[in-house]
Amino acid sequence: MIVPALEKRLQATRPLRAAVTLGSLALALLLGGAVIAAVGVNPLDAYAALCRGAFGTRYGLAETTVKAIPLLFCGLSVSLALRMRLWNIGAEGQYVAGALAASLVALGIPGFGRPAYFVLMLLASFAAGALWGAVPGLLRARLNVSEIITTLLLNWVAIYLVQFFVYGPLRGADGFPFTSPFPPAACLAQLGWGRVHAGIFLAAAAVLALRFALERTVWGYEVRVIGDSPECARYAGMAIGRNIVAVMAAAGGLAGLAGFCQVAGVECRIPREIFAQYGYTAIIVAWLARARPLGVALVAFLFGGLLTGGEMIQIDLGVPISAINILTGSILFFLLAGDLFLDYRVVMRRAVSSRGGADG
Amino acid sequence: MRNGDGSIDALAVRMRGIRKRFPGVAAADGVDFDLRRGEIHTLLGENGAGKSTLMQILSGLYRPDAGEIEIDGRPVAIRSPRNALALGIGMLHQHSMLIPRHTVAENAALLMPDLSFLYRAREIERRVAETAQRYGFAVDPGAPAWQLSVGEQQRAEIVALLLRRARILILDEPTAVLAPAEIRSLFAVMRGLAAEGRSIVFISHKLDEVMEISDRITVLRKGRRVAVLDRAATSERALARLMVGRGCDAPAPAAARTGGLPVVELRGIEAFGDRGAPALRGVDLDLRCGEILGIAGVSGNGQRELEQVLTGLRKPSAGRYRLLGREMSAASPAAIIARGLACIPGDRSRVGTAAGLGAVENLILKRRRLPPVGAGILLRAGEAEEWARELIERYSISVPDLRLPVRLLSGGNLQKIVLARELASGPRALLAVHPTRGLDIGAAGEVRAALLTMRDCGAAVLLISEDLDEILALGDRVAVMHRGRLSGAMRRGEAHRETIGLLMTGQGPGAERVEAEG
Repeated sequence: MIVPALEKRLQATRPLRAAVTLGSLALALLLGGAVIAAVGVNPLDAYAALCRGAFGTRYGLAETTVKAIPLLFCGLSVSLALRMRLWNIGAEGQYVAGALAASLVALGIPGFGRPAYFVLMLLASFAAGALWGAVPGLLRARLNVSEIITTLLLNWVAIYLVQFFVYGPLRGADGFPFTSPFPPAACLAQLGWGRVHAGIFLAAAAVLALRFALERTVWGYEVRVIGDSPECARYAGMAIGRNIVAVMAAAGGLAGLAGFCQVAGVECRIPREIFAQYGYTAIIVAWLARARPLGVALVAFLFGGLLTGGEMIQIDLGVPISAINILTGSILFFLLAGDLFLDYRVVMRRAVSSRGGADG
Repeated sequence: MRNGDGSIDALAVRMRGIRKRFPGVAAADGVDFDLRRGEIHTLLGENGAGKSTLMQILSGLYRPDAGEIEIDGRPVAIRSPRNALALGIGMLHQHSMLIPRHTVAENAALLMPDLSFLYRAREIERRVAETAQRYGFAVDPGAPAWQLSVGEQQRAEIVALLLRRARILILDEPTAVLAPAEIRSLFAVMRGLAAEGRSIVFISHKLDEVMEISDRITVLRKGRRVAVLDRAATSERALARLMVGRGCDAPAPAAARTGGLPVVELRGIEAFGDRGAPALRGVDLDLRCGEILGIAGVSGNGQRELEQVLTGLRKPSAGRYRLLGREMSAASPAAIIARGLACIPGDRSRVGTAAGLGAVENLILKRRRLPPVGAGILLRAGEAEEWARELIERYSISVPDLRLPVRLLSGGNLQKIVLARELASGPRALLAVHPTRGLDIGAAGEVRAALLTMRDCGAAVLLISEDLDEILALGDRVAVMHRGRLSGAMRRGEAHRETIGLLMTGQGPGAERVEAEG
């Protein structure tokens, strides 16, 4: 009898990697299509409408870009941690913490000029995100507590902290659960293209800065070595604990900047629903981009399109947005499962009849 | 039903012409092995002699490249540990294979063939306790494995194997982690099992134990069987000689000058191992420039901890460590590297290299903050690649692609990457731990030549190796490590192979003192 078996593969070639990635996307599209078909819409129509809505119009492209900005920052955040083989599941909370810190500056200190607001809000949001990242980093470095759990749990701390502020001290004058609008000088400039704001330049700068730090500095090199082999890093005289804290703090800071861009560029206030799952979607973005900054920029844009297009087909075709959530979730699912084929090859093997193994 | 007559039908295991090659080495090179029913049979040999490989083949972890295995006279193909267990072969590994959070009974249940669908904890605990009692030892079936002492864990594993009806038991260095009293009780259990007709393969380096417990002894050297002996017909001295062999040495030319300046000085160094047991017990050592000091010994006697203390990865609990005259016992690895100690680690694929990264990244590991590769916070990619290419050329390392993860390189090329990197800084002292382990003859020769060149250039070289031939060929002075202690250094010429062989097993001159204090 011929049976399939797995055999360890030495190294995955580049075409194989691409094939596995595309195959995973195709399977996710099939699964998403099945869900869309189940609500009575032709999946092909839905996907076509999704693409048109996301990339086919000037308005759609602008919306896609607006959604790509927080995804990009959070994607960079998750990627940086991944470079050291750390899982930052807390980009969501770091994003919310950054948004809150920026808002506290905007609403708490009136009367600044545009540059002063910009610098202060930027620093405050980065610092808040960094704090949310550094705590799990410290716990991991000192006590070897899994950062997966701590980053995930801290998300709720940040989210409820924001709830406290928008229902309490920062509640707007009109009584709804969101803050008063920021002073105009605290809002990011609009570029006159849909809701696209100046945060896009900050995002581009972050991509280039992270790329530079990872590829061109001793620090980026040490992060790679520690990620690959902590034993080797220690032997080579690298400070592992300090680097774990630094990486988690920097990753948190990047996600914090996403919060800054969102409140200052899009909302100009902090609404109750500031959390929009960007931090979780960013995990998929980072994994698809294989943790490379330029790749993150590209994938974030595509995922921005998926979110925008998803909203469009909800309005136009009545496909619930949860169908798109199933699609994005299953992308990561298939990607992670697809990694099996990067490490192993499937071979057809003749099953050997068992001899003398009967008397157990 | 002890069956000592040796007739063919009494063989529990018959292995013929077993061959197993790993990249670059033949771990088993046509080995024969016979195990009679009801006997305790010791496999003796230095590390790398092929004992573990042979037994891992018997227990289904590896498949042989060639050779035949018969169990109870029937030819078999052992494809997996599960398969081996079905044939009645059970292995007790050197390190506990128990799941720490599970109880003894739950661990035992993992191996039991006749479990009912429902997990009957009470019933299984009763069977575990009964089995243990039958062989005269006590285990608490309800205790989680992590709470047990090493000896208790071992007994729990033996019970699990017995519940699985193992008739052929392989005990891989079971006494290495035990206190003397525990060894006594383990031996009593082993005798009981053999008296029932079960067959036991015992692996050990300790000749006194071997002489005490074995019925027969098979000696392996360099992947071949060199002797099968009845215990009554041999002696510790004869075994030591067989184990280390008598190859003719071609000693390297002696050091041009001896008695140079002290580079590394250790005084009364004590350190604990990973499990919290004393691993280094008062080590004194002087390493001078222009010499190679060879440290022989079976690994697991403190060599790894000595490497870690010297490189700053493990802090000594007592004693002084001076490197080029400066106290270093509390220094960081980075400070020790900066002071001029290079190291070829014993574990080249996990410690010596970041195996998932490419050749360039591994070759600049200790150059990252120094010119020309490092410039402030920047890493200059072009200079790094040039640095790497130069080393690759100088040491003729075969690297098909600079970005290829180095784990895909052969052992020899991997080791040459470590060697090239460590020598590139022109170190004052070099620590080389098992530098040629697993390498083919060509690569091993290149590594040895590099060590000699280092010495001739005036560096101090500390060579820790299990390969006695290598120690005797390269070492200007030789010391032996056993159970965390270092013997006094002998000049080459004074160091006789037999003396060293006995010291390695704790039997040499001065060994009584060691045992008495241990």
